[in-house]
Amino acid sequence: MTTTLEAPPAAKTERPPQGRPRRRATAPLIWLVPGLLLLVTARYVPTILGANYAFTDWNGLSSVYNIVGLDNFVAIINGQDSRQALVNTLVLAVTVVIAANVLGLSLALALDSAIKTRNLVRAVFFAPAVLSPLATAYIWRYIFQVDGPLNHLLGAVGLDSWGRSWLADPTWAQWAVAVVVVWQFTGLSMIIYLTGLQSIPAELAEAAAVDGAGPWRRFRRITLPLLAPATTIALTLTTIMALGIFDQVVALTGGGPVGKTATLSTVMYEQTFSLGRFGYGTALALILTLVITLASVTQLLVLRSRERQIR
Amino acid sequence: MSSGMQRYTRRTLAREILLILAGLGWLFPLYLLLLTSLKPDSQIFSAPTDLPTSLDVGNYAEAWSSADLGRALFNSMVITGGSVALLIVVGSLSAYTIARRPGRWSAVFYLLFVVGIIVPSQLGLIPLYSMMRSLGLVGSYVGIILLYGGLWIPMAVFLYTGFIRAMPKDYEEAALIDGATPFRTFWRVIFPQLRSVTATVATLCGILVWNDFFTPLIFLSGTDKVPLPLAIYEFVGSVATRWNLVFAGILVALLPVLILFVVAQRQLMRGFSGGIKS
Amino acid sequence: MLSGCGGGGGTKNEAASVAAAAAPADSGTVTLIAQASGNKPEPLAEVISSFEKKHPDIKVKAEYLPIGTTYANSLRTRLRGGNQPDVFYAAPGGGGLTSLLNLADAGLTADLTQQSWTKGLVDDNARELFYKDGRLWGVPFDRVVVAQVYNGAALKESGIEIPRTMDELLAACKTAKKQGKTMLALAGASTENAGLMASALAANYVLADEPHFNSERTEGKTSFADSKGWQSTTQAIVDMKKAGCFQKGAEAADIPQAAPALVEGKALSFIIPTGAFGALRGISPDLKLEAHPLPGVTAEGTNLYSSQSDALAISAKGAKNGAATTFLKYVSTGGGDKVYAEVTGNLPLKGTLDDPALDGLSGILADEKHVFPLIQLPWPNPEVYSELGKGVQGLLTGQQSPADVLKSMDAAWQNS
Repeated sequence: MTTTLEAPPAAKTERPPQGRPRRRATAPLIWLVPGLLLLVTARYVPTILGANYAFTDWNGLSSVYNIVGLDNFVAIINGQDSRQALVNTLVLAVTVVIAANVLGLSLALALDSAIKTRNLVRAVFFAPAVLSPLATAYIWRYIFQVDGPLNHLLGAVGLDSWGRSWLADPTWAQWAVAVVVVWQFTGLSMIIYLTGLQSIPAELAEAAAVDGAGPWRRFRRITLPLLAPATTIALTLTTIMALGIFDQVVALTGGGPVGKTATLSTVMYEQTFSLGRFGYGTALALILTLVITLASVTQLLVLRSRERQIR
Repeated sequence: MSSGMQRYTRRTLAREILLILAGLGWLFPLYLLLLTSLKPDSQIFSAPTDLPTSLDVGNYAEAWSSADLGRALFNSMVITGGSVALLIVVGSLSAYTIARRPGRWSAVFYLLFVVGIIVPSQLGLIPLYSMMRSLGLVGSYVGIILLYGGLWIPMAVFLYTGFIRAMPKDYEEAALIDGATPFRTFWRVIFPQLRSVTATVATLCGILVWNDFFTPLIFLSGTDKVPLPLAIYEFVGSVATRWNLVFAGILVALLPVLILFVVAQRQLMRGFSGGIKS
Repeated sequence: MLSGCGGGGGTKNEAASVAAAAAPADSGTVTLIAQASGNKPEPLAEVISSFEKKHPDIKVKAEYLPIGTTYANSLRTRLRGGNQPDVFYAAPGGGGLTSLLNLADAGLTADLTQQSWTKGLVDDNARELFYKDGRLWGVPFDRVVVAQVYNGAALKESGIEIPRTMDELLAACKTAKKQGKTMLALAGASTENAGLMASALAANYVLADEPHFNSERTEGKTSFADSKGWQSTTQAIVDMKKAGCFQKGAEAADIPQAAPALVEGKALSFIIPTGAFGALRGISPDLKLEAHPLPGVTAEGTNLYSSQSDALAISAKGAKNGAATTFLKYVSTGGGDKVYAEVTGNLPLKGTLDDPALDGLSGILADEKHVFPLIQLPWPNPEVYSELGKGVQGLLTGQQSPADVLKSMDAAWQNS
């Protein structure tokens, strides 16, 4: 899911001078009907229904179900699998968001106009972001398997003892998943930072350089504050995406070993569609929704207020 | 930073080399993908980075037929094409109405769309599944296209609205004065001016729909409408040890996006960073 | 086991009944959906073509969907949302998404009790899996046997004798490991395969002393955690791991990764349903398979699973289609089961199969006291079995202790 919360790119043309008398409406209100219909039937109604099913024991098959109050939520809190999935999801999201943004920002900064091959290198780092997460994760599954390239490489440099079945290792499996996700997300955060950097007037940095400020100081005092809008978007976007991770886990580990890499999304899918617990599944989805909404809104508010302070 | 001329020092050179090396490392998985997909069966248990002893293009033919990739490719194109067309038509019309009708109602509707961007879609999926099941839309092109329409319409409306708001009204007013109907005006005068934002909506939503695995897993599993990611998923389940075959299939599945990427990477990057003021 | 064939019941009930199933018809079209077996061609397709030869005026249009979640949700979607097949595959018992009795509860299967040919079809030990409220909701078409299946050539080469007790098995594991092979292939990342191995162990450890474990568990008189048999079952997995019984990376392997280890002879045996013979021979036609029971603590205490574990049912739409009934009748009483057995390696409903790979089972198969239906079939939901399968992985990686696994199975039992 890609969400952008800034004003979209403006048309290149200038606004015409105001003050021209307004004529009649150019667009009948009825043109909104198809869009609203799609929006309401495919997004709002199901979401509200979902919030409703979360309080039932519906099994997805029978037309009757009982209202069970908070039972599903109690079961989620008490259920080892779901609780672990919640923790996993948060840990994965924090790791991925930090790593992908640090890497993405570093790349964006390193790829300044002095680099002759910058367009090519930029494209290289961005490529994983547009490729199917599921399909590319299978390549990583091969890399991580017990007789796969990674262990071969370790063997070749004399580190045989480090070799292991990475994706079934209770300690390493979740970090292996994180590596794959970071590989996919970094390019995205990189281009967001790049776009942000392009909007910073070069004279500012040059003036600071003339004043004798070192590179780190220039970065802290000028670049980073002016990058605030890009930071807001990159952080919020990667957070939303990281909290909903599904494809990579399915392809790499299926959630194993014993739920070590399961996320809220994979458990929700398993409970709903493999075990037929629709009520429980929607309760998990409701929790996931709340987590995502809470995280993104908090981030937006905090980062936005920082943006304002900076200005 | 878009500074003018910077001096190309030895440190710049070192940085450039470092970046290129890092880039090569970054693409290593894709290199393995290509390499392994060309290996004959006899080599799949040998060292992973060994070069193929003979180039086995037969893997591609076998993956193509046993994973039914032709069918999946067709399905992906129908689903992505249909969804993108729907999003462009409905999105631009809705956004145009919102942008050109200032007032409370259009503000409310705009908010409704924008909130749709933030509300995660996961919660609605299960009820959607049962709604669509009772309408007989599970496992149909129409069902999934409408679904994607609903899923991404907030994004499309958001991008279009911002663009249209910043557009001058001269032409359309002139056209209306000439007596053209609003729809004709929109279609002949406005829509062509939206070309660049339409391209952004198409590439962004197109990639997201094309790569999506979760939605088709729920709505299209087990039908003859499975798109590429789902076909790959089912294929891997059946031949998991023959990585050469799996990778040939994956490469075929990735190819359309890789080509699009090479041809239109700037457009793609702009699409993905589309929300930032430039 | 039952052998009588539909004697007593051939009364005039049919005429007066409200049974949904129609009388068999000679012509028409039947639609069928089933889960894909991984065999090419599909064994059911062979059954269908032999049926169509006998009934040239009936056409069966079959679709095979990927096994697991895909099949389960497609089936439920189609049964609920129109586009119903006439005939479909269901798992006997209750609890699962494709479970016959679950679907019957939801009113999605037709009552077959009034069809005279169904009398005596279901074994006594499987009755609770096919009948509910005294009515029959689907028919069996094979008998699934779970065995330790050896690669004959690799076994001979290793010089290892087929173990008759668990101690011998553990010793054999060590011998095999010294030769750079493993005694067992295991798909530890597949809850199905890992669960099946644990279940096969339970046939010996649990059912030997607690033959009524399931009904006692249902009544709350015992639990997995309290059962001596289950404690030994899970401990046995730990012991087997210590003895080096499983291949390197077993905890991360899927079935498609583990099966070739047997075929290539890297692993000497694999615990699977004999119905997988077809798929294994598909990988390597010359493969010499030998099925034996997984050894118990003692040779005398060794048990075997053999039960009617697959069902075909008729939907509400199919109930009006006489040709669907004709097809079912052929499958379970007209020779269809034999065709199916020959292709897969499962046993037909009556008698046995002329396959040398099964010779090692003939003794125990004749010994009714030591033959049981799969212990997991009557469990109340699929999660219990899934916890068992995950538990095997947890025991292999050291994430769970035997007691942890049993605790989570008891917890899953409560979710229904």
